Amino acid sequence: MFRLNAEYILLVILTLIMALLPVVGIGWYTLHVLFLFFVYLALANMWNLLAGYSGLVSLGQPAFMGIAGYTLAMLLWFFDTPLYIAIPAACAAATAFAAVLSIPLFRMRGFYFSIGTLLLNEICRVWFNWWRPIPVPGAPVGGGAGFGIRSGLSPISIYYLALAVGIASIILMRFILGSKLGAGLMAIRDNERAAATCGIDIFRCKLYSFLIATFFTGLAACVFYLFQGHIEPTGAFSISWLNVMLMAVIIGGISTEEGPIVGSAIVVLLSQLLPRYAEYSPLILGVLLTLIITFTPPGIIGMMRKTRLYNAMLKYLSKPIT
Amino acid sequence: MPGEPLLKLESVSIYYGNFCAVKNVSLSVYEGEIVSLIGANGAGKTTVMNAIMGLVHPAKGSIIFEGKRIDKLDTSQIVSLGVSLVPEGRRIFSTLTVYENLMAGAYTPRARAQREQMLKRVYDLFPILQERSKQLAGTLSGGEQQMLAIGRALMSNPKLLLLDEISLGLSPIVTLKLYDAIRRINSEGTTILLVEQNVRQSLKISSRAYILKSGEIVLSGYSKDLKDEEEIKSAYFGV
Repeated sequence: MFRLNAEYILLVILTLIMALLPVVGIGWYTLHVLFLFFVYLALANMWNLLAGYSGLVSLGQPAFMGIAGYTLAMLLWFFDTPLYIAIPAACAAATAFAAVLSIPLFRMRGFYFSIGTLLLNEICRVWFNWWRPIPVPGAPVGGGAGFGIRSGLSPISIYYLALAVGIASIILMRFILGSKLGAGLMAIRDNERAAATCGIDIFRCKLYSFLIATFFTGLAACVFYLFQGHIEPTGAFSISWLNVMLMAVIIGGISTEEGPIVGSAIVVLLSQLLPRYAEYSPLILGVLLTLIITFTPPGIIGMMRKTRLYNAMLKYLSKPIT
Repeated sequence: MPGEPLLKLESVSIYYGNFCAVKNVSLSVYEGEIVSLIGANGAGKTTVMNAIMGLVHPAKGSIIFEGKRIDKLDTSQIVSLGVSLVPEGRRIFSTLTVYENLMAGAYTPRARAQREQMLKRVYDLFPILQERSKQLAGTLSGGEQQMLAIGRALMSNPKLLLLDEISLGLSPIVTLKLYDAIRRINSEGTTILLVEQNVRQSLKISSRAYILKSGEIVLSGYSKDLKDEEEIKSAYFGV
């Protein structure tokens, strides 16, 4: 049931502005920052779906990003697969991998699930690192040495891809939260046992959420690797991706729809500002996270939701226009 | 009692690890009845309820609902068959609104089809829930939360409603109100199995009762005959 409201109009206007930016000749640097923002936004939204709405604090999303990235790279490298097949195939490969792993992973709950998923990243990194390079005349490519990714896309087309994926992730979240699955997930998050007695199939709800989040995380990874142009194990399975997702969601506000948007913007800005103070950047990040968790555990949005002005704004924005 | 019972437990035993929580329990609930299961703390009442719902699985024995074995099924499948539980300690979804809580109760496809009707029935039964429908469930009073928990369980339009200690921690006035509502739910055609520590209250409302002591049924019969039985006292205070 779709009802037009100021929120959607705002979303369309902002999207159009973002889409017009390359046309009016904005600088490459700004475009690059915006590109990162949209990739981070998709990653953060999906992590929020897992940790904020499904109670699945998965720390293994980088592993699925790496699997998607590697699948994409290999399809392009070996088979010259067209992108419109290679990208869905890469996301499907990551999702299939997640589906198989969900059998052992879902036997664990809470912290155990988090630790189990965290190990995936390292297992994949070692596994891919040990993959001996396939000799190709001229260059040490393949397996552990990595692949180049030649898509033939212009940077501006890749920017548009990122824009589409980022905006799609916002719409997807709205759609899921309004769906039967979303209602089930929120009930499970509040009280698993009570949810079961309502007839909610807990395993199935969590599995669907896990698979949807993995598919979209893989999609964001594909867009990122198309831009980066190469992939190798240490970067692909790096837990620094986890930093991005966790920080964006926690700083912005977990279990809120707006949180990841605000959080991703902050994380992108930090990632651009902090390298100038390289020796202090871990300190600055650490202090920032500590402050957020100490003073406003529900994040910036959680803090703002306590103010009357913000709630009035939300109410105004979500009022249906007839 | 004529015909087949709606729910039948046949020599059910349930273990938690090595500990036997429920030993060889058999009981039947016939359509249209209110049956109470009485016992002291730790007698295994909640375990029996959880076993019927498929939240724990019995090691021995069988649970039969409408002639079909349900002790191997998942909870969600059992709910679809028409069994619903109001869990001990209410367990409402505190960050969801009252309305969303009720909608979560109508999750199974069978329930979704008739949720508007059921919502009307629940609001009719507990008008306060309609007044508070947009409020977060965590902000309700204890009695209102219990009404919400009962309402949520009713949303799946169950044939058999299981009530686990609904009077726990509530004032006598609220308890009386809830029991009136339960009588009404029963008179509208829902069979009820009730677990209580409050013996007098549950004997008053039920037609039959089973007395559970340390996981075994020590006594059963018509509630009106049980009121003065010494066994009830011994089930509570031990010998």
